[in-house]
Amino acid sequence: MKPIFDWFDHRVGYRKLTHEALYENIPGGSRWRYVWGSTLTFAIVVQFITGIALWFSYSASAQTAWESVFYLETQVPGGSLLRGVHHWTAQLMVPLLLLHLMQVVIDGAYRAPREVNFWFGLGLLALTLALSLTGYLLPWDQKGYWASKVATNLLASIPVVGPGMQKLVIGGADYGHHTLTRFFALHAGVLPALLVALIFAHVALFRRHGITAKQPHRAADAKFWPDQVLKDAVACLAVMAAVLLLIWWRHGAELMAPANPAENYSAARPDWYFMGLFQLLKFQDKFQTLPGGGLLWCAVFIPSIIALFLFLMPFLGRWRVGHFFNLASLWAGLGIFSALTAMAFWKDLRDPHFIGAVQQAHREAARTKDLATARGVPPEGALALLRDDVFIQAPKIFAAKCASCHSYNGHDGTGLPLGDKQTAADLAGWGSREWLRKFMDPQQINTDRIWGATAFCQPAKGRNRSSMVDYVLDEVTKLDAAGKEQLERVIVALSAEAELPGQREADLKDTAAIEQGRKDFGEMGLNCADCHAFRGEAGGKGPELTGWGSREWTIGIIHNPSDKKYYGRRNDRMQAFGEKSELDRRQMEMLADWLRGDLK
Amino acid sequence: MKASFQGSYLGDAALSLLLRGLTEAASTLDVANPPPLASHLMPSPETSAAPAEAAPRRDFLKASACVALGACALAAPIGAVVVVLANPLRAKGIPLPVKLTVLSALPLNGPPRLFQVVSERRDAWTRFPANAIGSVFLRRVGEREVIAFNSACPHLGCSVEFRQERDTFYCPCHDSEFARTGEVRGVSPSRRGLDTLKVEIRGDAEVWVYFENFKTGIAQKVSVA
Repeated sequence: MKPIFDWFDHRVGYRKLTHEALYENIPGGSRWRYVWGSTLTFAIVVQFITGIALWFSYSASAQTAWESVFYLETQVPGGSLLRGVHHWTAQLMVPLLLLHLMQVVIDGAYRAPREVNFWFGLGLLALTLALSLTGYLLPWDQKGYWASKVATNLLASIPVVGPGMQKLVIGGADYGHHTLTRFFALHAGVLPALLVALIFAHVALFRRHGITAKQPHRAADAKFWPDQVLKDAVACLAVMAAVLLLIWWRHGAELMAPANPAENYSAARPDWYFMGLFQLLKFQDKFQTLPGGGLLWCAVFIPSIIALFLFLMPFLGRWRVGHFFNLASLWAGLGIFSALTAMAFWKDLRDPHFIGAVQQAHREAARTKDLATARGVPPEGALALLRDDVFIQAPKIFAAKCASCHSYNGHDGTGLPLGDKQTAADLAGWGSREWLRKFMDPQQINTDRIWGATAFCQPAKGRNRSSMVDYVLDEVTKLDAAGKEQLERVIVALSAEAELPGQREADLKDTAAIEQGRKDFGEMGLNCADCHAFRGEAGGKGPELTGWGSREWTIGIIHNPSDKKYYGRRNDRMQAFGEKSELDRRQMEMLADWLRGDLK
Repeated sequence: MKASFQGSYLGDAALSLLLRGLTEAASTLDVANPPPLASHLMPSPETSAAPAEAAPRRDFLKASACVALGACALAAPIGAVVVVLANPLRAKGIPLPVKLTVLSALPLNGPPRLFQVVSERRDAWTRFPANAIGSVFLRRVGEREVIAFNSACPHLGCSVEFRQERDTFYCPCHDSEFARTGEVRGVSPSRRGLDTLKVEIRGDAEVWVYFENFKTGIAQKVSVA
């Protein structure tokens, strides 16, 4: 073998290279405090390997970014682990960088002649933060989308060049395909290339100057290999163990619902190491009197001043006092940063609106993933699944269009308290026997949950109370036991018209009662048919009740409640949502399905 | 004249260098002991045909030529890169008239209500026939009078929400607060009130809004366009 190695070494000179790389002298022997640079190199290597592997499955466009990440996460074996490692290693790099920086400053390793290498290190810190900012957007989920929007708006706050830079970074005036292609090119191309170049320079200069050994020496000099490498290996293993622990604890890396520019996202937050800066922006007001204004100070000047201070530290460190000043400032800075971060998290953890928003976001994310798994993602992207989903959309439509009059179980459909006083029936349980029993209950019809605040109970001047209300209040109250049985059968029969999926079994069981109830509806029973058309009976001025509560009936009344089939001219407030194109057919279908508990 | 002289001279020099390199490589096939690289490629002063005093001038000419040729060679690729990368600077947003709702959906003097703005949109190569591009709060203050706010916070662009219990718009990102009328309320990071949008009542009762986004973080309302 030796002649072959000799031949190769003669042409390449690898022995000298490996010797230089491995047999670096460490005055005073190996130490644990020297491991941080190696853990960072390890982390970056992990990021390159996992990042390139992620690249194999990622597709950067507004219709495919979330979708490709979702596919990798849920359909590709090992995909979740791969993304988890990339995500959590990135998260750990920030504290590792801080540890490295602190160790370098504490040991005075930034002083002459190592100033330039210290600056290279600062450059690497900046590149790492830029990588994490660009990486945050790539899954194109709500979290990344809204947080990046704030970040790029901050970029635009830089005087003169800011607005142009913002357009260049997001690839236009608004977020879209080119925001992703650009962020991706930066994240996977430009920034890593700069990172590699700077790491080479950083390590080369480090080797040129040698290690700054901690005084006094504890032991005899040692070589990098194998003494220090062994400690480094243990530290790297510890880093990976922490990454795996975090993956296990947090179930990999989060993927929220796909980005939606029209959907308010109240749970928007940056990554945790930017939370201090995030909190600082809330105090913008305190800096408002400074020249340039508060935003500029919080977003540009203060970070720039910190960067400038870090840059000048090697010069200050020439003097003993300066070195202590550097150290004190670093500790103080870290303290302030930690305090701001803690404040931000503290407030969020106690804010019910924020907690609610996070829960809502998780529900939507889970629902989107379920739908995408069950049905596959349509070509126009996963957002289309949500846009067409009853479970997600109907409560929102209800809250936006219906909840100014109606309620749903006392809330606005999405679970938030009502904004307006309720002036029409609560529609939870629409079509069910239970709903009809409440409606026909003399104790309840005149309450706000039913018709209490409608014109049927509170007629305008010169008009009469609705004869339906009269009927319930007067006739129903007077019913004897047999009459009450008739009423119950009519209720069961009428509710059967709705054909609720949740009541199918009960309806099948009570066929006889339903048959009888249909008869009780007419002259032989409660005389409902005097006003209501029903299964061939002509009826009168009341709404037709054939198919009451069914999908078509419900869509019809939303479409136009003033149709003579429904309230006719007696409808005084409900809009013709379909007739006036306030809602499209699909939205009305979703509302009807949701009200009827027909959720597929 | 000068240029052609310079060009031909450079061409000659390059050619002779190349030829010499090839012949030397051919004559010294002793791979195990290659000649040192430096002497191999660079013409030594002794072998140069020109008189010694002309050398600095010639070196200057060579250096200039290197720069000029390099610039020419790179002009096209760098030009293309710059033009393509700078293309987004030309992007403009235009106010779009969008129908949001009908008057009867807005109770007179009721609380602000949020509407999605759905419009045709082109995102690079994709044309969305109906894409949600933002959202707008509408508040009806008169029989045919509606006030519209873009829901994007003028601070940094998060979506504000209306909180009934406090009767304020609230931004869940940095805690900016705005009164029902849109003005900044209390100690808020936002430098201006919510951005109003132009509203048009068309026909009987259709509420149309000219939707646009504005620059964030500043006290003035400036369109992103």
